[in-house]
Amino acid sequence: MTLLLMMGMNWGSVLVNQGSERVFLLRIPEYVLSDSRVQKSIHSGLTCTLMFDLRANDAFRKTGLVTVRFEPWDEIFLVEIVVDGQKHNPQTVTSNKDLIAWLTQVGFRIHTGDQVIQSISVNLKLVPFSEKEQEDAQRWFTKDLNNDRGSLSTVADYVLASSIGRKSACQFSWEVDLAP
Amino acid sequence: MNLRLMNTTLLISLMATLIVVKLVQNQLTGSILDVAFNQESQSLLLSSRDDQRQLAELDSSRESKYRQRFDVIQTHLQRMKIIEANRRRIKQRSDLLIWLVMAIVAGATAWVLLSRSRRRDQRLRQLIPHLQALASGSHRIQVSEQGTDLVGRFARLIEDTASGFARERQRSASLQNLKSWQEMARRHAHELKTPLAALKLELERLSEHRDVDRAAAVASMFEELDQINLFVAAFTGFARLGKPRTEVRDLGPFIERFATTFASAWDVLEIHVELATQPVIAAIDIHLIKQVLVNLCSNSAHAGASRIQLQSSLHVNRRDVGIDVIDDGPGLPDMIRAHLFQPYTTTSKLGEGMGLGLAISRKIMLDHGGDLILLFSGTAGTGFRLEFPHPEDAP
Repeated sequence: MTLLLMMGMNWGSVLVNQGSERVFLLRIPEYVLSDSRVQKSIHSGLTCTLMFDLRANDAFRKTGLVTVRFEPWDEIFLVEIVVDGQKHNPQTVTSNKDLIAWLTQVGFRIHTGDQVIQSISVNLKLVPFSEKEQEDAQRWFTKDLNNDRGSLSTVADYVLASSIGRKSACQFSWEVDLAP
Repeated sequence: MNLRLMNTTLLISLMATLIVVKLVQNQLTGSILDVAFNQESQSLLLSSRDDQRQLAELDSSRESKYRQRFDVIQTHLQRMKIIEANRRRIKQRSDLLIWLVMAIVAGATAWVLLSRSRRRDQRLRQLIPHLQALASGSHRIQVSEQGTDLVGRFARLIEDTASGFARERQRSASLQNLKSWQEMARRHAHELKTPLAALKLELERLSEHRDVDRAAAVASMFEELDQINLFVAAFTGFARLGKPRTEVRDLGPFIERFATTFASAWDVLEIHVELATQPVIAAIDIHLIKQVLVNLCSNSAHAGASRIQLQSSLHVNRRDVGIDVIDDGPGLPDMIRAHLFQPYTTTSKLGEGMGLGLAISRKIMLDHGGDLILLFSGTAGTGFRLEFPHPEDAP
């Protein structure tokens, strides 16, 4: 796991006001999306998740995630965004270039409410597959595979199944400056 | 418990476990993961997956079928990727599981070995009283141990040995008894044969020759009859050997009086006395002990000793006291030492002694609660000890 801490860089996040509410657009830095591990994960065909954790102070904390799944038959990317529990419409992106462009330029709307926030720490973790895919792999590895061999016990199945888990493949951190 | 054996067993078990663990790790976990992450297999799957799409492009009528195959392969590839992402963890957990199983097996094995070893020790301990009984000469040993293992075989061995000993003892006693009777018959026959032969000759002479000196013949016949009487008296004495009538007294004055009384009893023997500085008190029947001393002195004189020393001793055996009788004779022949105190054991020729003296002497000492012991015998002489118990311990 690699931790890239890019302190003091704004990475193009923009503060916008929406009526009385303060909103800013969070954009993922291009170096993150171009990272070989991220690229490998995005093209794996598995449901790759980019998990955000935004913190400004004890009172302000937002979480969000972007799931990307490459569909190899049609060669398209299916993207879903959830910010603060709110699910946005799924998007379909036809190429890696478009995906990077979309995620680095369009950004995600983050509502800060009426709080005046000078800067936000962003932590992004890459989880290479979904829970559903994990369970499927566990079943396949411990049940289907073992049934073929017909040797391992239930205890062994449990131990092996529990050793397949979702953990972040890599992690990135940066600061977003929201000073007016 | 044999700790060395147990430690060796545990060490061997541990080493065997380590080897098995390594083999299982290499053969089981390693090979499973190697199959899962085989690059060639993955490349083939990838190529096969892409082939489905090309086939669908070439034959659009069967596109759904190719798509289905494509998805199946894709799912497998994804699963392999997920497992690959967790390879290290799977390996660690599998190894841990194997170690755990092996630790349980090794622990269970050690526990079983330990339990068996303890049980065997307990069973062996139960055999100790039987072994002690065997050592003390008991011939009826029944061991409750019924196992068929080594301990069980050992128990049977104890029983068999006891019964073998008993048979052998009985046989030996019978032989010894027969031998004694043979020896007794031989000596009796000889002792009687000589005077009877002389009597027969005198009677023949009297009946055949009128001019024989009748008075001399009758006197000779009486002599032979006296000889037979002496012979009978010796046996009567042995048979009627009574229980000692003891009185507690100092052995010093008793020895001195004996030496004075019997100073000239044996022409060739000089009697010397050496007394302990303190009184040596014992419960003795002076007549019987005198008989013992006379027997020993007679034997010494007969063996060719010229000097005999009588010495009283304190604490010869814990509280016991004694009289040591030491001569300067040529020593006892080796062949008679083992059965020195048995009846008819003698260095004399037939007709010169019955071999009852030491047997009677020992019987007297045993009746006193003590014993007659041969201290030493060699070219420097022979030593006997009359051992008496402390008066409080006397019968």
